Amino acid sequence: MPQKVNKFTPESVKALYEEHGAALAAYGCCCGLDFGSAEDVVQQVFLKLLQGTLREVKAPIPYLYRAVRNASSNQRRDRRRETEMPECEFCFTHPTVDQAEVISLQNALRALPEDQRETVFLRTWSGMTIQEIAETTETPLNTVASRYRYALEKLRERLRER
Amino acid sequence: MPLDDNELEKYLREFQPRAVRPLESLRQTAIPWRGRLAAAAVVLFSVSGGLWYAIHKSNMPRAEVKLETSRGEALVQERRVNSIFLTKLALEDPKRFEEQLEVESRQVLPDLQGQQSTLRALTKE
Repeated sequence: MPQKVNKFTPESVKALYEEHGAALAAYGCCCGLDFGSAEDVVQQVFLKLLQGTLREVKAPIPYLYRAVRNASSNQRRDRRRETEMPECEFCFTHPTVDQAEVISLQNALRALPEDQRETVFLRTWSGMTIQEIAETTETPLNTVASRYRYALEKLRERLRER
Repeated sequence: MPLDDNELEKYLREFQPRAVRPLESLRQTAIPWRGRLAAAAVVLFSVSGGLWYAIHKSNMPRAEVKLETSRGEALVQERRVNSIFLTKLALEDPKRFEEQLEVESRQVLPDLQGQQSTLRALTKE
C-alpha cells in the first residue's frame, strides 16, 4: 500500500527513505548508474525534499521514481564514463540464487523501456497495485496494465536466455 | 524459471534491493529555518532601524523648538521682572533707577564706549 503523503515533513521524508530508498537506488542502477552514484542521486532527491523546496506532491512514490530517473539521466549525461554500472556490480540481493542470476535480472531490468521499468519497480518493490499506479501517475489503467504485462514478458524472455 | 505472471512476480519479489546508507542527517532541514531566521532578522533590523530613525528625526526639531520656547519664555519672564523692578525703583529711588537704566541700556543698545564699540569703528572710517 503506498504511503499517502500530502505534505513533506522531515519525518515523512525519513519514513519514505526507509521504505523506498533501497528500491529507488536499485532503480537508479537500472537507469544505468553504478550503485554509488545511484545512492548519491537518491540522497540528493531526498535532501531536496528535506530542504523544503517542494512542500506538496500528489503522489510521492511515483514522483520519487521520476525524480531519480531524471537525476540519473542528468548524472549519466554529465559524467558518462564514471557512472556507468559495471557488469559485476549488484543492486539486488537474493538469499539463495547465485550472483549470475542477480546480474541477469539487473541486465533484464536495464534492457526494459523506461516506462515499463518504472511500472515494474512501482509494482514489485514499492508495493503499488496497477490501479494505484494508474491513479497516481495519471495514466489510463489499460496502459499501465499493458506496460506491466509487456515488461513481464520481456523479463521472462531475458531470464530464460540466461 | 517461472512461467506464468504470478510466479514471475513472486520470483522478482524474492530479490531485495541492496541496502542504502542512512539518509545524510536531518541537519539539512535547518537550512530553510536558517534562511527564515536570517530573513526575520533582516526585517526586524530594518523595522527597528526605521522606527529609531523616525523617532530620532521627529524628536530632534521638537527638542530644539522646546529649547527655543523655553529660552523665549525665560527672557519674557526676566523682562517682566525687570519692568516691575524698574517701576518700583523709579518710585522709591530715582537715582538708583537712573543707574539701573544705564545698565539696562548697555545690554540692549549697541556699545558706544568700549574698545570695540560701534562708535569707535565709525570714527575710524
